[in-house]
Amino acid sequence: MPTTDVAATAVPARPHGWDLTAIGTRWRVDTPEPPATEVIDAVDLLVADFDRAYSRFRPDSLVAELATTGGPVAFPDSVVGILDLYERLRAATDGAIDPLIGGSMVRLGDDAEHTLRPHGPPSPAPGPGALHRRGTVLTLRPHAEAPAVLDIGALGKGWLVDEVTGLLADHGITAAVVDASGDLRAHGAPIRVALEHPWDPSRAIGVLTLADGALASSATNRRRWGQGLHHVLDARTGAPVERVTATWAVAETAALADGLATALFHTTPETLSDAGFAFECTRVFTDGTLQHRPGPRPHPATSWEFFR
Amino acid sequence: MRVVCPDRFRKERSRVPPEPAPQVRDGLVRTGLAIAGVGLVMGTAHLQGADAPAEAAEPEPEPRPGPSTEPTEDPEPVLHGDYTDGEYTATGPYVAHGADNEITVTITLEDNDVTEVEVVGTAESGNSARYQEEFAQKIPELVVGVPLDEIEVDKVGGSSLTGDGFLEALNRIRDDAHD
Repeated sequence: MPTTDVAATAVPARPHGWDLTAIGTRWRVDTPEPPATEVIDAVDLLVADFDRAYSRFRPDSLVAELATTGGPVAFPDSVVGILDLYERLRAATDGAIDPLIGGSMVRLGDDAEHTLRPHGPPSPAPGPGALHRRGTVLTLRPHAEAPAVLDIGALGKGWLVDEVTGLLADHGITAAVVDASGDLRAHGAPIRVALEHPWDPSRAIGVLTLADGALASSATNRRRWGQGLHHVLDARTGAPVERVTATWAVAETAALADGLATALFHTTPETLSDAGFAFECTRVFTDGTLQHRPGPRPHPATSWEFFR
Repeated sequence: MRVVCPDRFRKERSRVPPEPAPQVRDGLVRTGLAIAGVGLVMGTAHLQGADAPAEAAEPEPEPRPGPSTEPTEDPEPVLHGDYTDGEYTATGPYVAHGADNEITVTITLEDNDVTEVEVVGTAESGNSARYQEEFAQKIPELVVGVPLDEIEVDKVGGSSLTGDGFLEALNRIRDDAHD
């Protein structure tokens, strides 16, 4: 396709915004008007609190405290909705998604020090009985064989994108794009998102036009080390998945999109649809083939285009 | 199954070392994409003509392809590497409806991208023709890449950039490995 002259393009709907770093990656918020300082500060506070609660990569987090002491540890209110969504995904994937997958991630080298060398073989998550929740207080039942470490990476970033979107709305900003490096939520005007080629980040395999809603992009290409080791683990075995290499899911919220994009490494779109989730998706397998499932009903403002 | 590699490509096909050094760029290990096309080529050989419609089943990954033209004593498992641009063709015979049938798949590789796929069936009439046509339409789409600077987009959707020390750790490990 020919490159379009920049001067001839339409004025972007969101010419303002700012960059920030949150939960270990670069974010960008785009807004129609220049953001007020108090909004920027409020977002900084929100993402910092989330990181302090849920990060596996800092010794002062609630997650670290829970792993070390076994609890009881009082988490923020968000833990209720997060664990509820995890429960739905765990049921839909026959246990392949589990919030206690952190133990195997650490064992394979994805630990707080970024050792990136396996300390042992993959280990299955301990199972639903190991984590007990009462209100927002979590306790781990002692488990002899497998270390129990909470990791909410299957949907945590999407959850935080939703929280930031909500915070912006509280401040009257309702037409923003919140982009957490591939997991994003947009309202007010459609955006075009390139679907990054799983093997070649300088290329795209297609373009998604997203109207109101969220997109999550997941792939095993960046966070990988050693022989076949990457961060998308099947909780039933604790081992990295092998057949699916990239997924994209579009849903009403970023938490749903993120969780579904993760689930699509483990199960089919049909299974997730039968489980009651509403979404659209695309996934790429390690043999280079692509599978696409459009939404249940025509959504004129959201469309997928794949290059041939 | 017979795999045909045009003569003019045989000599130029690059040798793939048994333990290729991964190209790491921004923490991203680049693997040969040709596995995609060859996976498809190998996959068609398993097409069961039978009397069932040719549903495109979930594709099986083929980690050990190899567009070699004749059986070799030491087949090299090919997991990474650069494939010479060109067309690679495979023809798979199958028996159905009491007749011999063939289906031929041709893929075109450019810059390790699969840019074209063509499926041709030999059945000319009856159920076999119908099934071949259905199969050709249901071949799983192969990813085709277009350079980002040739398209107009607002965002790029891919895995998150790892900025939390992960890349530094990868570099450290790579440096350690070279010592």
